[in-house]
Amino acid sequence: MRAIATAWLLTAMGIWLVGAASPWVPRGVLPDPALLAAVALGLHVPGLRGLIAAWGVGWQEDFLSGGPLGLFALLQLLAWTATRLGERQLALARAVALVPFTAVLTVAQVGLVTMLASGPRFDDPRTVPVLVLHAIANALAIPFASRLLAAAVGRTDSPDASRGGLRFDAGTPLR
Amino acid sequence: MRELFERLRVPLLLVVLATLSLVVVASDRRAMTSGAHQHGFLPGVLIEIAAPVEKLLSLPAELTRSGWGRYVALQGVRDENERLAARVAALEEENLQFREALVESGRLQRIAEMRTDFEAPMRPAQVVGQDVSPWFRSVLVDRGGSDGVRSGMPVVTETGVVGLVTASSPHAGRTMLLLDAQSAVDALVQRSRARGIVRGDGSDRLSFEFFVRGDDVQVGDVVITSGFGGVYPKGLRIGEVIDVQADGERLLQRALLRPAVDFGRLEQVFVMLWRGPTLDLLYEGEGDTPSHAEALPPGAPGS
Repeated sequence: MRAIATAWLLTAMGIWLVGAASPWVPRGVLPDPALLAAVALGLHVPGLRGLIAAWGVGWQEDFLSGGPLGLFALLQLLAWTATRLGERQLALARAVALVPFTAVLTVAQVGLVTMLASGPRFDDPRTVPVLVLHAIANALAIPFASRLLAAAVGRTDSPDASRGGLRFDAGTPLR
Repeated sequence: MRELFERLRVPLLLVVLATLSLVVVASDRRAMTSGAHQHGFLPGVLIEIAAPVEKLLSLPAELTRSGWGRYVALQGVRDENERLAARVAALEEENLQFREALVESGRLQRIAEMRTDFEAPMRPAQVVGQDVSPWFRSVLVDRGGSDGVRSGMPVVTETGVVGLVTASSPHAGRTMLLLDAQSAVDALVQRSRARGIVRGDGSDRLSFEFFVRGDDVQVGDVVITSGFGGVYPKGLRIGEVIDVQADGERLLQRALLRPAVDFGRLEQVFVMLWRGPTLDLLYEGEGDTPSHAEALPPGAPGS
């Protein structure tokens, strides 16, 4: 319960900060706090608690967005699931794996937004720079978001990957 | 059995929550397109709660903007004459208020003219929040069903079209901006009468797609609503052509528009208490607004 409440609170603060900064910053430069929270939850809060927390985080974004209701809840649920799967397969505890994973996840999410809710058009050349910026912003922010959530939740020892053979041995672990 | 349930409970809950989310997405999209959005309990409650929250989100920006403006003004006055600083500041403030009143009066006059032109009552509204997602462009206004604001009503400023109300609760309404990727408006070039569709793509510019290769569209042309789409009345200013992308191979030509409305500085907007024939048909049976035929006298623009 504490993990869920902490994740929701941190996401709310993130959304508030992004919302406050958005009038001055070009679109796409600011990271998506809900996506960061869902990925961090995937890394640090497994099981039912993580699943429910990620779903709730998505609803927070739905609440303040003009897209169809439930869209971001679904997307963050999928982000949490992808992170859980990736955590086992790719050793996402390491930044070298987590950063590109988050960038790819951002692009996948935007693709789903387009499919489910008439989001940005990929055939428009102006979409790509914003998408690239947004993916980079999320990728750069995720190590910090992950550490922040881990510290706030107090769980810094998530289970090791079950398939050690697929681990990348690159750099110091995040946690 | 218990062990199996323990092992499967996360995947099971995942499937349940994902299905539930998909159902909500589908029903919300259906509600948006069928026009029943303002009657949905959940969207109504969420918009009602979101309005003050979004107002809180935009508070730091407002405070910094106003704080910065005042600081610069006071610094200038102090440099000029320290002894008269307080007096000058007061005069500046007064002057600012007069200027603001003048601007406001000019704006209201133009809105009054628009109201006369379009024969539609206008409801002033304040923008209280912006979309937090970079992929949707909408704003929340502080007027809703209790003020007569309903889904499908155009939102304008004195400079041009802002967008369309897509959902409303008793005290707030969500407005999809022209910039949103889902927005499409039937439009005309004011000078040459070339006709096309103005689309948003989520960026700060609009694209004007026109079909006839020989159509005369030039940089600097003003694009207005055509009234043919049955969504907006005819003659509302949309934007100005800043680039024409000539491509002899394609049937569909495209021009880039600078919107007439500065979407980055939206504060006060006006909701036209009027729904076009297309949206009226879409919302038929909702019984929540006077039909356009009642709101507009015969022969009025857009009718």
